Amino acid sequence: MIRIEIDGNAVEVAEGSTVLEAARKLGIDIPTLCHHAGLTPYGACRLCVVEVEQRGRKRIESSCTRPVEPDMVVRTDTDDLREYRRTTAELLVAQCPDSKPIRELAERLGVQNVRFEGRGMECILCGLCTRACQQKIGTPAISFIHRGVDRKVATPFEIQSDVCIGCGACARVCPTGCIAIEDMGNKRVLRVFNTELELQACSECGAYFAPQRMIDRLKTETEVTEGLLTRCPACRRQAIGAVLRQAMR
Amino acid sequence: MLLRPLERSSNEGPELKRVYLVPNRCLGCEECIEACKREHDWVACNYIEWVNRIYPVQMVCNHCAEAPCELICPAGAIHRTETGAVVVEDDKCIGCTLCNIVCPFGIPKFSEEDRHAIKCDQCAERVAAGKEPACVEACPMKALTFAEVEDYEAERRERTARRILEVGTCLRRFVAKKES
Ligand code: SF4
Ligand code: SF4
Ligand code: SF4
Ligand code: SF4
Ligand code: FES
Repeated sequence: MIRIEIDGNAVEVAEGSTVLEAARKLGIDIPTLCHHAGLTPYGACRLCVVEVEQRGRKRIESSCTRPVEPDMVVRTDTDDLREYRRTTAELLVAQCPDSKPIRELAERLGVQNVRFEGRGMECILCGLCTRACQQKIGTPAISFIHRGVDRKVATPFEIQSDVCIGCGACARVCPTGCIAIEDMGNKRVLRVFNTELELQACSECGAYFAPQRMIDRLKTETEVTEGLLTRCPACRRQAIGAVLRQAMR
Repeated sequence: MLLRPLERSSNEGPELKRVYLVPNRCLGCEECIEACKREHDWVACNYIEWVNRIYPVQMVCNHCAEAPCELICPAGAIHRTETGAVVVEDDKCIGCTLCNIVCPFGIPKFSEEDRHAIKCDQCAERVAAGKEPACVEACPMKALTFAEVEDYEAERRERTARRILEVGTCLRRFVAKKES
């Protein structure tokens, strides 16, 4: 265990924890954007900056990537930090002026007007979607392409992905909400990635409940019974309910 | 995405108490569902299934040993608590819905609004505080019990025995009437 001080409060966390995790343990709210507790830290947005004092030296560092060290003194809410975060948030709003979550976040951090020329994108290049897809789902469906101002997240060659399983993790970890998933009839559409997937119809009731490719991968890579996978959750409950009823008679 | 081998066997630890349904008591009034909603920010984790459209069966998570949902979760967002319940850590969930697709019982839900999976946590907070799960406490018919499997089985056997006895008494009376 390592003991550090944050905003005057002492806290003990396991070695290898980040300053952000230690602060959250204390209930201290540090704004974050590119951080997700289920994904590896990335340090892209710089909203989570804190002041770290060690051996008499003060530095501003991003708390989501900074591991704790003994005798660290951390401040999360100084005038400098507030200013730093406000400027960062302003840049973010300039980058994606149409994103509601980003505007709300900026407002919360005290941004009144935006001094920078915008890019009019929706993605802030935080890399949460690519991290979720590549590291957790284990598909190379999406990644960063191009450099500089053209940098963006897309499928290879920006055409229909043949490996995306349509799970939707990318959309749900995206902080700006710019990845939309639409289910239309027997199709799931990820418009930003030019990708369309067939949905699986339930073998019992015929409802479309999950992308076929997701089911196919589960069939080949896990030991879940095949008959079960093609049944929708509601029909599984019905089947188990009937068994329970039978057993209780 | 292979089912991850768990570092420790997931069914070790204390004998798990579960929510069991007492036969022939549930009326399908959904008080358990309302109680679960109150306990969990207005999303219920339990279900009433109508078998053959007339028999209500209350369903909660089985808190499986070697739980498929725990094994599949790629974000490591599902784990077993000290009391044996299989729970989702909301902030770790990346929203892949895989738990929803592998659960043999069709239990986990996915909330698009909260952006994380929701499943029965066996009212972890209540149980830690020595109370029964909300659904068990709320049921006006006492159709749910929170017990270890042996206790539940023993209670059930006793109840069945009592029923047979009752039937026996009825029969005797019936037969006696006929003979007289
Ligand atoms: S929906 Fe496709 S692109 Fe998005 S995380 Fe899942 S596999 Fe990757
Ligand atoms: S959610 Fe499903 S798979 Fe997971 S423990 Fe409960 S019943 Fe088992
Ligand atoms: S939806 Fe969340 S809890 Fe369920 S498997 Fe995916 S990451 Fe894990
Ligand atoms: S045990 Fe708790 S979480 Fe599970 S169904 Fe009952 S009320 Fe809901
Ligand atoms: S949350 Fe730490 S840099 Fe984005």
